[in-house]
Amino acid sequence: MTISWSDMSVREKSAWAMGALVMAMAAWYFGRLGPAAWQPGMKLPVGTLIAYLFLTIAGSIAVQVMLAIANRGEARTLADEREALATARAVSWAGHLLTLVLVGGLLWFMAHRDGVMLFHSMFAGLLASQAVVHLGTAWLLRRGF
Amino acid sequence: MPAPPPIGNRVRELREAHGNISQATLGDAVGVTRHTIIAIEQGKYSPSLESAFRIARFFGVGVEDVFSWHG
Repeated sequence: MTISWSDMSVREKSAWAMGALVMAMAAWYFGRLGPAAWQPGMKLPVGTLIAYLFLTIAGSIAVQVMLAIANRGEARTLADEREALATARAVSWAGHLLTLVLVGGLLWFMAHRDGVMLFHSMFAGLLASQAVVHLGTAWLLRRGF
Repeated sequence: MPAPPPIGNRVRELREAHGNISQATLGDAVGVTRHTIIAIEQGKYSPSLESAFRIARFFGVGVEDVFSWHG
């Protein structure tokens, strides 16, 4: 599988770029949190969460605007059948992953009554499922299916 | 890599036989992107039945003149 930016459709470029953004922001968020934040009884990192949301929204807008400017005509078109099918499959994978993490987090909470771990696992699950949606779509479009 | 679907096609050959029509032109006529036409030609994607009929109609041939089953 070769990856060349120039022969990608705008949706594939968007999927790779958004996947990279989600991964980078997840690394930033959990890196900033540090291991102590996962201990029972710790306060939730509200400031870091707000900063994460602001940066992710700003980053997403910047990525989409740059892609739209660089691919003016194509960016206006709707997803075709292959692109829609690739996204649907990736969303399905993400749904399975999110369910797994949710059930795991709830079981952990039932066993340990640890709400901090529940919160972080839910948030990690959301970020992971977002990464799967974007990178899964990009991978399917590149590899074929 | 997954095994490619057991469906062959002559899209590229027909494109070239019809005055070397571009992938973008065919894609516009069928209602898919140029990249989807490329994926079909490379055997990486099997189009929907509707798109298969649209491609065949574009070239003025039957579906089985464009697509073939190798299973």
